[in-house]
Amino acid sequence: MTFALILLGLVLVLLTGVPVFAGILLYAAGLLFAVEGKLGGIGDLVFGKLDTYLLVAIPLFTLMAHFMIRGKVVDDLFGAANTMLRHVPGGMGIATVVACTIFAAISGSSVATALTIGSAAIPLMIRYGYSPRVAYGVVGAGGTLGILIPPSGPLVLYGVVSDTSIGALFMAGVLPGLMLALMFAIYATTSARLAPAGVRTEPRATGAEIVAALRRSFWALTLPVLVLGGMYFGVFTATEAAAAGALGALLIARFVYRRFGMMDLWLSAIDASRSSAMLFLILAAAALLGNVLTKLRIPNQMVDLVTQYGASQVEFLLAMMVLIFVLGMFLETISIILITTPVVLPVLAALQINPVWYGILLVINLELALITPPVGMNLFAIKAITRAPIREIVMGVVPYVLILIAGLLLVMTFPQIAMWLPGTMRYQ
Amino acid sequence: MFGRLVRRLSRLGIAVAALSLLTSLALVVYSVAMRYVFNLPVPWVDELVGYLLVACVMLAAADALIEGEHIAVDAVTERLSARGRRWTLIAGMVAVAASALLLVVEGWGMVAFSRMVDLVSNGYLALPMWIPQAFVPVGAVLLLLAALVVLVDALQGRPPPGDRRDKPAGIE
Repeated sequence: MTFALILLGLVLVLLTGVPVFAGILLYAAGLLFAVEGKLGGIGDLVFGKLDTYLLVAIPLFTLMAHFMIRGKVVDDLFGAANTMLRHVPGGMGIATVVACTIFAAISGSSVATALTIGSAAIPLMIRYGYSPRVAYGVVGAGGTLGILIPPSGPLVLYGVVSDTSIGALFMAGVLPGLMLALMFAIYATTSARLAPAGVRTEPRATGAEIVAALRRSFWALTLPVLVLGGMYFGVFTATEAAAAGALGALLIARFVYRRFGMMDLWLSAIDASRSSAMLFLILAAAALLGNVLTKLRIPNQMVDLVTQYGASQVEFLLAMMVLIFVLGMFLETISIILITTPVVLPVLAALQINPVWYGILLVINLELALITPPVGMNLFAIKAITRAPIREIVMGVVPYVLILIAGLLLVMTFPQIAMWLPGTMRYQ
Repeated sequence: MFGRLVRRLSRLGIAVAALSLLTSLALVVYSVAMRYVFNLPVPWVDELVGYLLVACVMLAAADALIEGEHIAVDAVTERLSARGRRWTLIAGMVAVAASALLLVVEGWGMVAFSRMVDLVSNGYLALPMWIPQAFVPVGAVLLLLAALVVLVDALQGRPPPGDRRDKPAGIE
């Protein structure tokens, strides 16, 4: 009950539009003052949270993606996928999902995925007779794969906050990510075929064209193998995998594509620093809030509440997923992970819910948050590309919201979809 | 005058932050190479990389604010009139200034305490702790100044920092 009130108060504070880190920090400091009558220890807490080797993985993965984007290594992902699928009716929808899936394996961000693939795919789809809604929907939804298919910024954050193996989380995201991609692709091609005027197709690509397309995009495919393979076989920790990936991306951009100069390196580092500043300040502020919640014994109360009601795993998970879905309509993904995870962890332990499985359910739910109005970062990303009315974009993604919910329920019912691959890792 | 000075300082901050990040990249690559190629683990890299992350985050915060990259929830506020949005911005900058002030005071308290008891890191570097800790109050001072600059701009009716939605965001 106390937690519900605190959460409601926080959501109201954040809806005033203050920068999230300042809102959470002041709110938490106010609570701390109300509880203890004094402040103190905030400096150590902030320093301690930021001084975390594992977290460096996030800006390093961001660097990797920036190097690939600025070096124009990923510019042709959609083009290459489209070359192979252009004779299939509705093939561009599938090509979009395929390109999003590959980009998601390079980038840990859904917004970057939607922006990069969307700017190539949307204009072309509309030119070939796809209805704009169909194009917006598939890019918006395909883009959300960015945070589920590893590497994933949110999974690193969740792993650090919950003290769960990031390698295991990454591997657990692979199959659910591919499953969702398949569901998206099936729907995309079906919905495109249903267009009244029909969509145009082109003649099947010749062998030479396919080889040329593969050659242009080959290098973009090598990085996921290096990064994920390295983590799977225990060669790299998450931070090391991110560094190796960033170095690989730098070498490919500089020496293979030769479109990457010192200025690109510098601007990539500046962009990655800015985004980690805003991200990790929220992390530090949320840590203070978590601290206050612990002082108020909220996590213990949650455990008591759950045991008192004799809630089963499924009941608790369903309740959490509904709560996160609702929060996701208003807050952004990072705050949701950081605010809810510390409170949920003791309950997971009490109900013997595997934290890796829960992390994947959480992130699939956050994919929903990215495309559910009023606050959905991927909706805004598509608006930034197309200047289309937000209503049109929302109408386009509605079917994918249902598909994501179906996917979430599938992984909830069959945990093995997530847990099988990490179970085969020898090193964790 | 004040505005220009602060902008310069924040640009200096982001430059040091970017250098810290690139240094971390180089250090992690170096340590992996040493471990696998020469079978010589480098024990101090993890510790140093942690400190560099503190530097990167704290020193980049002011520039991120000036460039309008801080994450905010604008579902409600974007429906407001131009005047309403301006007051939202002003309230937001007051909140950032207050948070930054809190971090300056608390960060300075931490640094002063570490110096008083000569706290040394317990990793391989055995570094005086106040050195990496100092990035917290220093970065917070920069952030406080930046918030004041944006605040004064908003009060004088100048346009707010760039709209974050048009840029690829961090990790969402």
